Amino acid sequence: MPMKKPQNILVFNCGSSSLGCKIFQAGEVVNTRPIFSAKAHRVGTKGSEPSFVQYEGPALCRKIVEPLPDHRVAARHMLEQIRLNHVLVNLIGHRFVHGGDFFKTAVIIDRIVMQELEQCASLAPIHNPVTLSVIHECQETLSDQLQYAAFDTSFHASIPDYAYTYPVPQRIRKRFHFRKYGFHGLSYAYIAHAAPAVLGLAPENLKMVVCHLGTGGSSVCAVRNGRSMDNSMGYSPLTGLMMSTRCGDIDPMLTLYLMLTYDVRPADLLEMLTEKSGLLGIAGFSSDLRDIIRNMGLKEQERAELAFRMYVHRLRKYIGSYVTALGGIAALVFTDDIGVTNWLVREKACQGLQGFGVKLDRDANRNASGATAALISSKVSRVKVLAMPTAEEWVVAEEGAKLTRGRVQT
Amino acid sequence: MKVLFDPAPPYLRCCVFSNGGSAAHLVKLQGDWVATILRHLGSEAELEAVGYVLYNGGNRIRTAVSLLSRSSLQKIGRCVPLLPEYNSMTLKLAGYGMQHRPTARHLLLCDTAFFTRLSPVVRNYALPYELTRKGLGRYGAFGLCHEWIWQQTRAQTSDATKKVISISLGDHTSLAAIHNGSPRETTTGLTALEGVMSSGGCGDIDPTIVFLLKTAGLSYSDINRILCNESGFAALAGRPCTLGDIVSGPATPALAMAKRLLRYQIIKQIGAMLSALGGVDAFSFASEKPQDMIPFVLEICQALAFLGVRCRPDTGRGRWPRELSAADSAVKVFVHRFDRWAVMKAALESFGNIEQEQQP
Repeated sequence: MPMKKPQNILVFNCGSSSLGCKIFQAGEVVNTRPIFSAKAHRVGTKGSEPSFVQYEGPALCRKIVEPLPDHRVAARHMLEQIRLNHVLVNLIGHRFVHGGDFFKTAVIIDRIVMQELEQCASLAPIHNPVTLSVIHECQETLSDQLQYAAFDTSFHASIPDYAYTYPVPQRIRKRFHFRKYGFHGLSYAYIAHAAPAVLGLAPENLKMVVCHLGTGGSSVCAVRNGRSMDNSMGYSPLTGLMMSTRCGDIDPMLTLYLMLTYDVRPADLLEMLTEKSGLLGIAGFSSDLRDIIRNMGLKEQERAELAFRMYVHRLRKYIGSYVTALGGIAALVFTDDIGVTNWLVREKACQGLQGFGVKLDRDANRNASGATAALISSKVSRVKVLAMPTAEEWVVAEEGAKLTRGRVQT
Repeated sequence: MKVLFDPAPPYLRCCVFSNGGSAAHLVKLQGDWVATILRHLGSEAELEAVGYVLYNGGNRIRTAVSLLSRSSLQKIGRCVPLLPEYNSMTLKLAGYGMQHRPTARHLLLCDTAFFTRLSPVVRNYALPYELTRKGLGRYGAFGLCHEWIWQQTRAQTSDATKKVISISLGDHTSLAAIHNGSPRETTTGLTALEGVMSSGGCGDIDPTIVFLLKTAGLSYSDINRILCNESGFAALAGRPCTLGDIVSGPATPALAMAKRLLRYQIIKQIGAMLSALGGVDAFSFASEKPQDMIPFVLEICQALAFLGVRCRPDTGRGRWPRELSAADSAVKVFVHRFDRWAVMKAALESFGNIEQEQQP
């Protein structure tokens, strides 16, 4: 049987304040190392640092500081660099945060699918519209290329009914498809697939709590036997942990109280909860946890420490609740930008988790590079703690390779 | 004679304590409130003290029991928007009581006061800070009950018991993490709707639903009714029902689902409380019908076996509180019988004791 000619799959990953792009070679298997990668940082954020794109690849390895007012501009920047560097692209995949009830698995984007994706825009108001803008940019710039979407919500299809059901009247649940969907599923799918081997543990019946801590959005997932059992995000990515600009968990009555007491319009309130709350709401000067940590202890930014402590407290509570829900765990994994690069968050989050058998190795935690997986628990810790980079884009590429087997011209 | 008024709109719960014992009444408040109240207060001569329960004192009322004055009525007035139906009833009752029985001692029992001691890290919502400055936060609820559970637990154990997770089981279940008598976390928030689902309340859900319902044309009062009265057990069972129906009634598929969901929510919240305390010495459950709750408590404790929780095979009979934990359990487990009137009466009387102690 002749070897299949490898294809290059370009994957875009919109974070709330970042845009990642990687090109993977896919033959019989999808190579884990991309041949080209770029990440745009601080896209559309209000912070003290400028936005930039970091490029890595055989021909291009540099940081370009550039105003990036939105994700479409960042995508245009990247597509231009791909063209200038003569990197061939056969297929384009997109991480799509919320597929609602339309999509349970990855899908090729045609005219009808595009309409359905557009109907999903409001389900994840920070992510879905920006991903749609990147799809539009690709349609305009690389009009001949086949595009597909892979969904964060797919991994959480295994969450049991007692964890996904919101106890509101059934007519409301049915009418609005109102239930917990869960997010960051592509990241959790990768960790669930790759972490057992790194930990030297059998994946069967392995119980893990995984913390996906991004620069924009963050969540925690309870994983058993490679399947999602619960996720801190809900119907939308608004709930759960305190995030860069999202409020996380609040009393549902608070929304009514604010609308009635302060006469806030519903649309303005939703914007406040998604874009002006979280770390930004408390600290006031930045939505970026790195800025906030740098300013802790400074008199002029007295709320930086409060914001940090609130962030950690809520993270620790979620870890505790999922450890208990799983009846104890064998592993605790920190991933994504903040999760792998920020030792202080990991150190503070694990304080108070001794009762669950978590004990960090202080030096191993502080010295973890963030570039590769690092075991950061002490030898006496009953729970293995890992800081491990995620590979959402690789999972998207895998989905694309499966989806298009035999359909893509190379 | 002492009288306690406990608002439960549109009803008023009332308990009269005299030398002959106590008598509790449930009264529908309609028409002439003053006449109804005076009927329960008795004559000026025999009335010693009147207690009024305030369910949400926000940041303004910071002590569990306080002497009512004109200025404290103004404070209650400012708390009305936090829980309009309940707080306005307390305000009216206290106003009428003070006006018509001026020589009696009028005391306010504030159910959120215990949680005013929560750290700002816990008490704040991650919202724009201007709202925190305006006093918006997680006020907590059922503080009188959780403080009582802590006191009862300490009375049963040595001084070494410092970290207690109190679990008040009822039609409105709530939990608190308590360290040395100070609250460290709780499940309720701005209102008692936050946290574990209740007989009619949704508990923690994605608040996006409020925007969806508003966009669909529902009024604020419709949304309030759906989330506070038609959700929780009622939504899952398809009819109004109590905690007793769920944990010890016939197991229909709908009730079994409600029980699974409730148990899961409580177990998750226990984990959250535990991480806020950094460990635990005792789990203390309280219920008005403790005997009915024992099998449910044992189910919850089974899920905590990984923490070294072991329960005795024989859960005993007779008096309360009862210790369920076995001798080799790493954490103690207690079940208390919660009698709301007795607890509130004790709180009223504790105010008298404090006063006497403070006299030169």
